[in-house]
Amino acid sequence: MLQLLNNPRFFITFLLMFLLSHILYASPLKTLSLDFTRALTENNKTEHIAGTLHYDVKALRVVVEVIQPLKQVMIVKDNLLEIYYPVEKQAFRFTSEGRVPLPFVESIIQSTQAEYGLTALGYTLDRHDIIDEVLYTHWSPPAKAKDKLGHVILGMRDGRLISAEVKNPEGHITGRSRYQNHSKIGTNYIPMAVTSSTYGEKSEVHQHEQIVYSNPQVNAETPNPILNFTIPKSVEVKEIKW
Amino acid sequence: MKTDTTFHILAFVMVVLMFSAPFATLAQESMEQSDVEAAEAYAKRDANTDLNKPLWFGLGGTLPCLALIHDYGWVLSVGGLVGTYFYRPNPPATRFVGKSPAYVDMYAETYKNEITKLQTLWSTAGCLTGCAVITGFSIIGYVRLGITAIVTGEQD
Repeated sequence: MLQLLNNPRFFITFLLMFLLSHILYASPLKTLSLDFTRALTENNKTEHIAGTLHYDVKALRVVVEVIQPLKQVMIVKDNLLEIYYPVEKQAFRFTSEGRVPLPFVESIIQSTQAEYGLTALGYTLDRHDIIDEVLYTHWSPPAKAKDKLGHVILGMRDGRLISAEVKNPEGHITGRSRYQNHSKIGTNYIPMAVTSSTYGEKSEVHQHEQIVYSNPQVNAETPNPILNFTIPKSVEVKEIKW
Repeated sequence: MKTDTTFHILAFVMVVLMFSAPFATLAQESMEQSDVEAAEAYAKRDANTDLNKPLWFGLGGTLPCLALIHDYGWVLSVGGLVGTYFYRPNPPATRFVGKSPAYVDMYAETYKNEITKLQTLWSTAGCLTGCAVITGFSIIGYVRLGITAIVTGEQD
């Protein structure tokens, strides 16, 4: 190894690679592609979904390419949600009045925003506690939306989000998430494993979801053409106004 | 004996070939059917969970008050009640990931119908409760006025 480092050509190449990778990972996020597997347990049944997630930060466009258990392409942008089935040659277009929440990437977007996007939503910091080196911050919903939104508690360790607890306006826990295996992408730590549970009115577990991300591709020089995917004109699209 | 075995094997292969396609179709149809049934059940449950019942009840409860603030306020009340029928929350995109077209179709239809039904139900319940409260207060007010008038009449 030392011999190799003494070789000036190898040393310069090594240094360049190191610098380039540092620049790539330190630059702001433009496009992101991640492979994912999702295990969703509901009513004692577990379904496994696998695919690739593509996210164009500037266009706020998400394309989910599902390969298992079936072939499906889902495109989400602004108030439109399009679902295309390449095998069945079927498609749906949902038009909503408001912005459609982006599937999966909400937690990634949150991790790239200040205070995980809570301040942008009008949440205010109530108080904080430190328990076992974990900083827990308690957030109150905006006064205008107190009848719709509940409190949020975030857990952070070493500047990385490790847990989130969401309550409804009545104070019952509706969702709990754990974020693990953080990877530094751009200037942010993005969790590569997200485990979430949603709860019903009687605190019973509705759903348990585990998403594992892998193979992150950040700011690809030639963005994946799927990011500009449109449903073929030959396919009849079922329009649904939401 | 040897012929019998060959015959049995061939007969078995023939049977498999003859029936595999219909069986596959049947299995496919059965899968689609169970998909549709699951979609309907989940859509009803999710609509019930997603709906903020106190909010819609409260919103319905405030509608009769509109009738009190202006002569034509009742138009706003009726308009508000009709509006609850048309308002719908955003489509839950994550719930459609990895789901079949039959599932998506049934889920979207059932969810839309169910959430509309529940919103209208809870806001109507709130509206009727609001009406009952206003009527109750009005009766109490008129009774008090009547008593005051009788007492004042007797004193005169």
